Amino acid sequence: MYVSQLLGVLLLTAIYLAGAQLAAALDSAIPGSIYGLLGCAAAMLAMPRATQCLRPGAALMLVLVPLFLVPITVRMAVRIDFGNPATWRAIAVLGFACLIGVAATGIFARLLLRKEAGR
Amino acid sequence: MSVLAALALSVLGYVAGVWLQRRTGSKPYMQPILLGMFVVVAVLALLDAPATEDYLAHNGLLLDLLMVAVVAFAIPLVDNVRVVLRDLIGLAFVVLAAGAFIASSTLALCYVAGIDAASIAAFSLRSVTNPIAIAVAEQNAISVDLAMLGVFITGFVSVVVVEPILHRMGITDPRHLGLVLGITAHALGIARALEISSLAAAYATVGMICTGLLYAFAIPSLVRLLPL
Repeated sequence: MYVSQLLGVLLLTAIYLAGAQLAAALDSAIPGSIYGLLGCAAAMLAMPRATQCLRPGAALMLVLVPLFLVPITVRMAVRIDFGNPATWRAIAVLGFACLIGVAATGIFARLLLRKEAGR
Repeated sequence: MSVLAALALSVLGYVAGVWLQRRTGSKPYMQPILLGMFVVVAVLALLDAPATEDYLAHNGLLLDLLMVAVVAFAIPLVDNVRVVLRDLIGLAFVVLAAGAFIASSTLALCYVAGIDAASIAAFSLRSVTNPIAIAVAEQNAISVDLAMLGVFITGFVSVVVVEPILHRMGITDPRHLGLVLGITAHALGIARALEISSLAAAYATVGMICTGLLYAFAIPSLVRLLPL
């Protein structure tokens, strides 16, 4: 179990490093991890057996995403000035933008996804 | 504070966050990330000021692992692309239209409210899941702190308002609900979609990842247009 998880994490790390190398070689503004994600998805669609090697490690990494985010959320809490009225104005704008974004996305989904049979 | 102590504090915060989430009935808005953040900030407040800077400087390993976790999103993407293959063209159009509308409406509202260009660039990532938003922000010299603020506010507001708004509009199809939850409320939306149905969760997952990919490719061009 642990060996398969470790092997999966090592493979994902290798794919990420390859993506980062590609981003650096192309001098790209798109992160290396995105190239890695796309390369990994393409490899799994082409070679379904690769999914079995990657799945235990990928499941572990996705479960641990909240842990990886803890230091970044702490930095956000420490660095952003929540006593500044401009911060709260920005939060209010974001809240309003969320409301119209949800309504618009709902309309797009209803218009553009084909109807289920019987609906 | 040493590297080991900083990592141990992050793990302590995460474990405490998971424990607190379970104690409070696993509500979608009781996220281990936020609960863990409060625990770590509380511990750092008890220590001296340099301890906070040391803590922030010594957690590079977790950020590297976060980038590896972005690659791991390929698994749910491939799993669910097969499930929703029959709707692929419609999905692509919804993600494109919603992504363009959300980004442009956010930019316009922030501009009208007089928010500075650096914050606008960061808030343009608000509908992208955290790991992808951080990767894009770091690569494009966008403030990661402000981007995280935008992502959190969006996730929390959207997960609360999606169902009341869509039901009022007469939208009850689980595919539509899931897709809107994934696009607008990212990871929190997937957690809520899982409570609706597995079909809603599949659409939410594809919506979240495709929106993240769309923004990863579009934001670098958008940032060049902003006077940062």
